Amino acid sequence: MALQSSDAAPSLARTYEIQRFSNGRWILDSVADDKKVAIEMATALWKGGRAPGGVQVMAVQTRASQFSEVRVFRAMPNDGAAEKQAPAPKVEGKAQVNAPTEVRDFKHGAHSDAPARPKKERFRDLILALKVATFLGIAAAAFEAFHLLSR
Amino acid sequence: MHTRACNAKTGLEEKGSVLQNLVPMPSATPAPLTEKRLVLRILDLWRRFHNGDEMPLASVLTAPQAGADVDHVYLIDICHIDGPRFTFIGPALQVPDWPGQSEALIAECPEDSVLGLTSRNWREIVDREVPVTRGGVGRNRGEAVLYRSILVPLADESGRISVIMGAANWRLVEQHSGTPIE
Repeated sequence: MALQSSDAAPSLARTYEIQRFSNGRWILDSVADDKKVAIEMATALWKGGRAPGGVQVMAVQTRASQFSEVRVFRAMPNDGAAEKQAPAPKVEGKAQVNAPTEVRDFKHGAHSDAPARPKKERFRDLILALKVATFLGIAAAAFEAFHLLSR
Repeated sequence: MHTRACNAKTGLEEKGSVLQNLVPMPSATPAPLTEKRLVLRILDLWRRFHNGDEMPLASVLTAPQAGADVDHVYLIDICHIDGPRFTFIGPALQVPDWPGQSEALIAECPEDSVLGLTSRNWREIVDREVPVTRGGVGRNRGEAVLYRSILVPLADESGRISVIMGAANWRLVEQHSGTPIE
């Protein structure tokens, strides 16, 4: 078999994988080295009707033993082809090899899991605490007064 | 009797209000939508020859199928016993001082050509089994160029990748002093 080459593919810092959603999983469709071109390829795939389940572009960065990725574009049937950063189903494809030391070194993974409570809700909690404290104070004073009068 | 439609046809003073009520009719022969990028046209061609989840066959998707883009297309036989070699090179990609290039090995292709710059990534397509587009700067026929290419896999009857179709175009870049291009 003549699959030997001294001209191996250059090791690039980042590639962009165009993926289409089919049968409940993301399938690798094509690869680009440029974000703009990758989004154009995904858009063409989407508008051409060849990926009715949806398309996305993942920026993939691979080092010696580390693998990281972040979504840079997504078009789904329900979101009007809008670009979103919502969590996606796990990708299954040949280029998707997650090493045990996988890290997500892009900013999108740095958010806390617990959502911040609204300001209005916190104010309501404060009022409730003040009411309880007032009630307890009045109750204690009444108890003390009753105790003194009963002597 | 002057109807509003008649006024619209004759272009009288009521034209503005009449046009608002006219129903636009689709043209009988819509203008063909042509993708600007060569790589997207080739990718679309490759997708059109897909048979379900099966890769396009090398015996079906040949260079002439690229139509007007055939000048910028080349084919690589990766199963040749001597190593991957060109089986077709479009006129625009041919290297003038390289004899016998139509069946030459990829390893022998001059690197200071768009053909050499783009074809050397063939192994990545075999590994990934999907189209890959790459671009960059380099030299072609002695001139600094900015190029973009695409390589798409084609299969034989057994479904194994046997041929890679490549396409590339480029434009000259101006050389400014102090601006590296390579």
